[in-house]
This record gives sequence, C-alpha cells and structure tokens, in this order.
Amino acid sequence: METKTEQGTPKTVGELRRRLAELGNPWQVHPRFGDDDPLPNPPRGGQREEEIPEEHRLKPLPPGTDIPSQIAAEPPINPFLRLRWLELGLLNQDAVEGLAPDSGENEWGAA
Amino acid sequence: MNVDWRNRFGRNWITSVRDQGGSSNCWAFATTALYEAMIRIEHCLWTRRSEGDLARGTGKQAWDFGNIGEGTIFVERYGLADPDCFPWSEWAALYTAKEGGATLSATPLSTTPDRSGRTMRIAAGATTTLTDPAQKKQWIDFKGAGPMAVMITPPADFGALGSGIYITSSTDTGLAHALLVVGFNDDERCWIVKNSWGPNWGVGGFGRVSYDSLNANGAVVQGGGLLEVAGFTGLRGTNPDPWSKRRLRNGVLIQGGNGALRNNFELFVKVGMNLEHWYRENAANGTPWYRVGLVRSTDPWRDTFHDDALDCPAAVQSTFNRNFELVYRSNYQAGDGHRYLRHVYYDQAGGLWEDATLFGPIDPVGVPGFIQSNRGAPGDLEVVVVTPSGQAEHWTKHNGEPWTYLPGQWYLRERFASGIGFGGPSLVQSNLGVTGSPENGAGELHYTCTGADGQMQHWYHPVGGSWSLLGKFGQNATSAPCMIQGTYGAGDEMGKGNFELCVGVGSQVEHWWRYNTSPGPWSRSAVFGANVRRVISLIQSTYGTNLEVIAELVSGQYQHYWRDGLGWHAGVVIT
Repeated sequence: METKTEQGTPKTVGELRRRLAELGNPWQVHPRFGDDDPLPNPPRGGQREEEIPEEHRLKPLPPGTDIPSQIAAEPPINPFLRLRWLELGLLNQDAVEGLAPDSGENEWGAA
Repeated sequence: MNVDWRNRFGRNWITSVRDQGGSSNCWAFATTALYEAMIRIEHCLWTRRSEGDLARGTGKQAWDFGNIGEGTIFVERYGLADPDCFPWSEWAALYTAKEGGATLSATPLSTTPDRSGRTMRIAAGATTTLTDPAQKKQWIDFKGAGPMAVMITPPADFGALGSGIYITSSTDTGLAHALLVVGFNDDERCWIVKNSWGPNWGVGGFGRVSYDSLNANGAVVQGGGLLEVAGFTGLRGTNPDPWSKRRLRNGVLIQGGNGALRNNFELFVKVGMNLEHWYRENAANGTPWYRVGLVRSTDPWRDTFHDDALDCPAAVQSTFNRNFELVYRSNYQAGDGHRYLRHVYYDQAGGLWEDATLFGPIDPVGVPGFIQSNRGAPGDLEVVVVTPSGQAEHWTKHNGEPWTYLPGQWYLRERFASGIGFGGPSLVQSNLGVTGSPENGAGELHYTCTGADGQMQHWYHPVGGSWSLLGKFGQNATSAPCMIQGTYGAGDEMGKGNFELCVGVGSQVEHWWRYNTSPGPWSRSAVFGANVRRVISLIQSTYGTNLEVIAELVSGQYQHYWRDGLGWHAGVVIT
C-alpha cells in the first residue's frame, strides 16, 4: 500500500491547474476547488494485485480467447439488447419476434 | 463505437452516485454498483443494494482495504441485501453472513432476520474478467451487455477531476481504487466511469478517462491510459429478490426468480373451489403455461385447507425466504357461522403449503388488496378488503419490531370509505414519502377501489396518519381496479414511478396511469380486451418493463394480456 510520488507532483490545486495549462488543458479541475486548496485526496481502499489473496483473485481470460460459449447460448432478455444481438447476427428473427421494446420510461406512461 | 449505459436505448440503466465517505471500501461500492446496474439491465428493474452488507459481510470494516473478487465470492455464497436489511455505514459492525457468524450477528449492527428473502443472488462463476481492450468493449456493448468493475491505481491528481477527459500526466502511483466502467467513447478515445466519491467529483460523480497517456514532454502517446490494461470484471445471470419487485405487482401473478432466466411467471387462480398454481417458463418466446398443482399441502397432517376458495387470491412473494403468500376469501364456516379471509403460504424451504390463519371482517367481499410493507423486518403484512356494507377495512399483521399489537396476529387498524361497489388487489405501498435510503418504514399506502356509482376512488395513508380520499376518476367501471407503482417516470432507483391501473369497464379493460414525480390527475391510456369480467392482476414485468394483465373472462377462464411498445396484445387463455 505504499504510494510512490513523482517529484513535482502538485501540492495544491493551483499548481495542478498551472500544470494542466502548460499541457494545453486536457482536462479541468473541479470548479469547487480554489487554487489554494491542497490537492484533494479522497479515500480509496483497493488492494493492489500483489496484495490480493490468491483465493480472491479474479483470473482474467487471456487476451484473444473466446468469451465463454455459455454467454452466446444465453441471449439477454432485455428486448433492446436482443435487437442488438439480431443486428450483429447473433440471433435470428424468430428469437426477437413478439419482443417489441416497451414504451419509453421517461414518457408519462401513455402507450 | 460509443456506448454509455447512462443513456442507452433512450434511458438510464445506472443507479445513483454514492459516496464512500471516509471509508476504504471503494471495492464494495464498485461491486455493488455492478450488481445494481446488471439487475437493471437484465431485468429492467431498479433496485438498491447495500454496500454495507457487502463490505461487512466479507468481515471487513470501513478502514479495511479489499478487492472486487472477495466481494463477488461473498455475493455468490450469501447474496446481497438491501439497505433496509443492513445499511451502509462507516461504523464498525460485527455482522458477518459467513458460516459461524450467527453469534457475532446478534448485535444492533446485524442484518434483519429475513435477510435470506431479500437478497439478490448470482450463481457461482457468473463473473468474467477481461484485460484486452477490444474484448472489454465487446462485453460492455453486447456480450456481457453491461458495465464492468475495475481496480486501478490513479495518480494523486485523479481526485481533482472536474470536466474533460482525464489523461495521466505523471507516473506517480497512488493507492488502488475501484470504479465502475459504464461505457466508452471511441470518438473521444475514453472510458466512462462511475466513482464513489459523491456527485462532486467529475461531472455528477462520473468521469471520462482517456485511452491514452501523456509523455514527459506533454505529448499524447497512444494507449497507456489508466484503464487500458486493467482487468475489467463483468457479470451475467442476476437473480433479483422479490422484495425489489414488490411495488411492481398486484393480484394473482408474480414474476419470481425461478427458471433458466430467473424470471418465471407464477400464477395462483381459483378453479372450482380450489386454488391452483400455474407457471410459465420465460426463457423463450411463446412458452405455454403449465399447471404446478393445487394450493394444498402434500403433508396429510397439514392438509387443513382445500376446496374452500370463494374467489381468486391476492399473492405476495415475501421476504420470508421468498415464500409465496396468498390471502383469499374462504368458504370455511368458522365457529361463529361466518366466513373470513384465509392466509396461506408456501414454505420454500420445506416445500409445503401451510395454513396461517383466518382473519378479517365477517363475510368480506371481492379480492383483497395484500402487500408486505416495509414497517419492521420482516415487514408487516397489510390487507385492505371491502365489507358487505361497502366500507374498506385495513388489517395488519406485525412480523417484527416495533410490536404495537400481538406478534403474528392480524388486527383491524382502520375502517374507512363508504359506498364501495368493488374492491380488488389494488393496495400499494409506494415510495412517495420516501426521502432517502434506507426507507425506514416510509412510503405512503395507496388504495383504489370502484364506488357503487362506477367511479374509481383513490385513497392514501401517510405514515403515522390515517386513510383519506385523494380523488375520484373514471366512470362506468363494472369491477375492481388493480393497481401497481411501476417504473415509468422514474429516472433511477430513487425516482417516483407512475401508478398504473387496469379496470374492467363493460366487457373491456381500461388502462389508467398517474404521474407521481409531481402528482397530477389520473389519465386513461388505452382500452383493450373483449369478454372480460374483471382484472385480477397487473404487473410490470422484466420484459423491458412491459405491463402484464391477467383478466377473468365472462366464461370464467383466465386470459393473459400484455403491453409493449406497440400497445396492448391479447395473450393466451390460460385455463
């Protein structure tokens, strides 16, 4: 859980803003911070990979391997996603018939 | 390709932004956010889960670091409860759901005793972790079809992000932090993340993180962004708890968690003088309805009720281990020569129907309104039923503290209204009046019925108050309405969804709704069906939030209707 800080890491929000300006302002600091505020350090709490007990490690699929076949065998029940699967050729027309997407939820409920 | 689950297919699929406060439980927040989002996407259901249940359930306190894997293992083994079962807090708690934790859980900081009935569940092996950016995008777009949780080590300036696309400009390595990736934008070359630092981080609690990085000279280098090589963990196969669906159903139909896609319909109807249990497996289109059997105990020593149903029941799937609970008018003549309501339940653990009790007014009329409310835990059972004199009676059975009446005994709370012609399964505990999470017993009761004049009456009961008439609407109704609070009009899990109501008028069904975000008048949306005597159930299903109706026909048979984006459709006649 050791933190390595590069020399020159901004100590204040103002320093960070100046650094970002030098870089062409790729992103903006949240406007609630004043230049004199120390760089915010919200709590985190994640364990680094090497700190995670073996039994808790999530084993990633090697890049390029097929995502497990059971996923293809179980199409989503969400009607919008079924239409997306149809568009990608993962489902045939029969599988989406009778599954017209519902009315918009942000409407007032009228069909 | 661009995917943003905050606005996909014209709506939001991501629950509200949370704040982990001063705790070190980011991993519990990201994992919980993943489950909430996947329940919403897979079941079109808003639900709030408890980060506290996940974090303390793993045996960790607010100051303990953790990881997404242990949170996942916990949910696979013990499910994940809602905040009213065990809330998020930075306080230390001895609670653990792990085996052997029972003695430790006997503290004020323990879960409610009905935890097993109010947890969402997943099967072991439901998660997939990917590191290849192309595969991660495929998963978020359509393969896993949803957000993914990730653990990264952002530099110190990450906490200051406002707008724009965050790009790493230093090589310092901060502490690890978990996030939920809710989308990506190839045009802008960034991932979109939900953080747990409240709404004052990024834009409303969400941020954009570049695929790329900056070199020492400030030039953009393709790749090398914070999330590029990180393992993303996705999830499929959520099984939401019935408690999360309690406002979305009323009457004889329940959408439970059984079946290949954990969304079967369960139906309880009167056939002859018996109640029958039917189900429909929803894994494929057009699957038929099957009869499970009689609602009657297979244990001869418990076979105390059968051949006594005067009417269809109102059904609830309760937090008592997801038991089915039915209340119906019984033909059984009690010692005083009168007939009452009967409460029976299916014990999921024992596999038997059990007789709970007779209760209610003398010779009640119609199908009762029946819910499990959030007062206490397990929540109270509440019934509103019409009397022969045309009044409504509100009966309650406490299942937990605070006890204001004898434990386990139904009692009359209030008598209200007059001139009621038809009462039905139309009692809802809404989230109107709920101001935050946990709900802590808040939520107005609402009840609709049909007056003898054919107008519908809308009654409500605020917490701590009494029943009063909100208004009348419609005309010429010839049977009782069936009402739910759906998700239309609710932007997220805290939103106030509309009331939806279906009622028999003549031989057809009228669909009415009321906007609840700023309550207005009832509006009629549609008229459909033929040869209908009355509506005995309305639910909002997980088929893309379709509405589903069970109607009793003039012939005495039961027919299924549903509404999707194309309008109302007549389904099969079930029995």
